[in-house]
Amino acid sequence: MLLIKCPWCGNRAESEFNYGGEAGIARPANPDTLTDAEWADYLFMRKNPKGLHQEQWNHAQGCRRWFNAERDTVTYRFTRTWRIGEAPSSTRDVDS
Amino acid sequence: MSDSLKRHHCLEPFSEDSATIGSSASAEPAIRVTFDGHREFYNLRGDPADAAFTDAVKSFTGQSIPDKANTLSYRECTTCWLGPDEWLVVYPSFEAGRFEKFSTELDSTDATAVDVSHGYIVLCLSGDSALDLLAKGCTLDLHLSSFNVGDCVQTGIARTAAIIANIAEGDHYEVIVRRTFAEYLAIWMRHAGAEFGIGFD
Repeated sequence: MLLIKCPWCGNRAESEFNYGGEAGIARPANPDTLTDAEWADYLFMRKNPKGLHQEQWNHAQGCRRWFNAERDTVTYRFTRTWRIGEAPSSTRDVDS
Repeated sequence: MSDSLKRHHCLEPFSEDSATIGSSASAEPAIRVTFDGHREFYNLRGDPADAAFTDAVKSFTGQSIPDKANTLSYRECTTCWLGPDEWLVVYPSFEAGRFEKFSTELDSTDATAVDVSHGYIVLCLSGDSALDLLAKGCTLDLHLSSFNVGDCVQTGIARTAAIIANIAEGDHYEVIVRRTFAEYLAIWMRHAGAEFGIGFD
């Protein structure tokens, strides 16, 4: 079973969580001034890396909070999680 | 007039239909389940760093709100931690006008309380095998080393979202579920508990 560390509740089973896409994508402050290409980039273009990826997750069957996680897309290993609005810790819980 | 009306809950037909299962009729079953459908539940949202809010709740309920994740405080009522700014206040019985008073108490703060009493029912489990039964449908480690009196967890039991509250010494656990899922969960318990012996009141 894959355990994910919720920044509030601690380690919980993967089945309690929902995935919410790539993390750290800020909505443009002035959407009216964007070109179609820039708007499309904001809406649709994602990194999809092979390796460490920063993502949003929701602890749906627990505290129902969103948080950030860093996951290795090759090994599925979660290397660290942190609360929304906070900076990630400088060290990883585990190596990828 | 309303004083003379009897309050009912959705699992009353279930208790009447369910004899003790999995052990002989004379022996006390290893798990006993009672339904409590007459409690009051308030969903509370507020900033725990806001003293006006925490003081208002403390003066009304007589206890501090738990600030540690997945714990509860218990005296006249139970206050369960649901999130960093969210709690569930549970009173053991209904009292007319109590919620209005509580709501008024919070008027001067930035907090909010919602009466969600009609959304929930409590399944009270007791007996030596009560945790074994919950463990069959739940991914959490419910061993004493990680789940003690004063702890409450939100998790899934047999794919149903539930709160498990550990409020008393001994093998007593309260499972707080949405009413609409309660019958399903009770039926699951009847099947999953048969190997231990389970009785419903």
